Amino acid sequence: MNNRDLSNRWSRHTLLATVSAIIVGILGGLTGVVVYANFHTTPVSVQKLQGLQDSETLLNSKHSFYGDHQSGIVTPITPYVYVIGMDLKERARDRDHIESLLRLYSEDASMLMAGLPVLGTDPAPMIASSTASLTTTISFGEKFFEYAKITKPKFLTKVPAMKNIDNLDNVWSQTDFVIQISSADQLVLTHAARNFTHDLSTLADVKWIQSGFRGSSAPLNVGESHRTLMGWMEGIDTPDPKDYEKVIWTDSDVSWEKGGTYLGIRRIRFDMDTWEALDLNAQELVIGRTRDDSIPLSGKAASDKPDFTKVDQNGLTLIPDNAHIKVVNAESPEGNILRRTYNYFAGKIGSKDDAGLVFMAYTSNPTKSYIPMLSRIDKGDSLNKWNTHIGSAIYFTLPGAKKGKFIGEEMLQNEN
Amino acid sequence: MISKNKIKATVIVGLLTSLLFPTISTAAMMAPKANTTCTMTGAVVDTGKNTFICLPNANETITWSKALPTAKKAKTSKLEVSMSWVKADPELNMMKMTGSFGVISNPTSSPIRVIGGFTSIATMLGTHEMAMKDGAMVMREKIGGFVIPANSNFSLKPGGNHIMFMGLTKDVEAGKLYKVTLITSTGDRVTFKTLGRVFNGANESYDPGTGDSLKPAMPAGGMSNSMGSTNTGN
Repeated sequence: MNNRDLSNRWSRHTLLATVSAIIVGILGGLTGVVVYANFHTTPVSVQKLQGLQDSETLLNSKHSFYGDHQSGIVTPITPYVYVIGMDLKERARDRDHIESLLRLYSEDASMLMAGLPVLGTDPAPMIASSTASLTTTISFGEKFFEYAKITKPKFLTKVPAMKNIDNLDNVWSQTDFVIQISSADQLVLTHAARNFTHDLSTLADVKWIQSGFRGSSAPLNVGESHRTLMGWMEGIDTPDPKDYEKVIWTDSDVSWEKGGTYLGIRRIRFDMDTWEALDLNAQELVIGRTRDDSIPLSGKAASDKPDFTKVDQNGLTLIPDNAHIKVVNAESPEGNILRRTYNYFAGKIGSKDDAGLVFMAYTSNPTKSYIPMLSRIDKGDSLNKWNTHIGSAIYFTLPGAKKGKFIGEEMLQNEN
Repeated sequence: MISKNKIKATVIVGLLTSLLFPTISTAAMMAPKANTTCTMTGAVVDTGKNTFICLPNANETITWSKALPTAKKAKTSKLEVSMSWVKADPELNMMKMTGSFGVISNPTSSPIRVIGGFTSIATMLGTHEMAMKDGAMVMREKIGGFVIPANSNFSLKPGGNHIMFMGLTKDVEAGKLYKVTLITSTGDRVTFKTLGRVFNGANESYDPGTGDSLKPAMPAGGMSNSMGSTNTGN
């Protein structure tokens, strides 16, 4: 076993980087070169994400279950995900059973993430010895708080109907809670999913399992974009890591909500056939960027910030007003979301591919970011012609567990 | 020498009595005296002066242990119990049994023998083993209990040595913690919590040759229907 803990690994990185920064800084001072200008202002959570670009690292890493935040939010993105929507059984819709569920979930998650089989009942214990960056994240819907007789977090509201883009299928609808499991190894991932669903089986039923994948060579840092099955880069308008505290983590008067976040999930089917029938330059006007290099139509490099006011010689904006990147653009950090998006491919419906995105957005306040963004898309995104939203659900993600505690233990203690 | 069937019958009667009249203390029914015949293997009786445990012997009789210290006077054992879990089954009825598993560690330089114990959710607790009998694996009482060698870990697992909860008074639920106390041959005690977990295995058959075999002697109907049922939830 060559499991390297990411945080330990990073502490070495930090040390090396700091030493290098000092050396280079001295040299820089001599030669007039400015280096590492913002190094010390970078939040720790972001530092951990840097320098983890190789998939070997991903395969040989493990994350801690314990911490201020749950794993699977700002931890590096792995190529595979299962998102498992579950409902409490009728017999388990009370505080007592909810405590059992949280204890069992946390027990299993802490073992699996540490590379250990689940307590006593693991049907395939040897699979657990590799984690391949396994993360598990549990989030809770409105009903969950109702059953637990706990005042729900205040921004946990229903996502309003989106009349143009929604064609919601009850198969993928809201559940009482959801477990997001991700790993760089599909076997590890499936093993974890089977353990969780089996071990919670007397308390909850699985409503749906969404399976997703990303390119294995896609950037691992959560804030970076990746190329989807459609061939386009996804998630470019992503929050600056220095804004994570504002964009992702909740700040609340309620102590057990602090360090949590909200999770919006959408299953978006994409009409691949008609999209692919469109000429590339027409596709680029729909998106607002070039396909291959992801350059905004107003700029010269992928890193250029899109200029939505820039016009051509005829006075037309280079990026059309209804282009996808303009519609989803967040005007303030608080309006943005952290995307953890995956492709899905679920076979064929007739002659058409059933393919698209498992779109997951983490946000500190969905009423200021996620929901307004969906409304803007609904009103006027030219991509809507090819996008159909077939699933929608929203949850609150509790903060991480303290060592030796289970997720939600503080919430249950404080809300008696 | 008491016949097997007689033991079986007295065990059943004793068990049924304790289930039907749970408020009558075991002590009131039987006055324990060391090495005299008792009726329910695994029963622990605290007389206020001493504790006795009803234990099986190699000659298939069951007798009271020697006088052990009471709860107040008993020392805390040096044994440590970790990774403890118990097979959950939310559809249990009162007669059902279940197994508890984990690791018992003995950090001392002498062997320690666990002879019995108790839990708040069952009327009796037994130290059991799986063994080959007539070509089949059967579960039976471990005569003399579990000997935990010096500086060693002792595994309790399905298909091997395990702690049996008999005469459950509550449903064992996945995700709940239940308090268990084990008692050693010197009367020392170790208390720990065991976590209810869903498990498809540990459905072994009981050896009819031992005193606590309830299955063959069970009356037909309601109570026997749940015997050996698996925990597939509701």
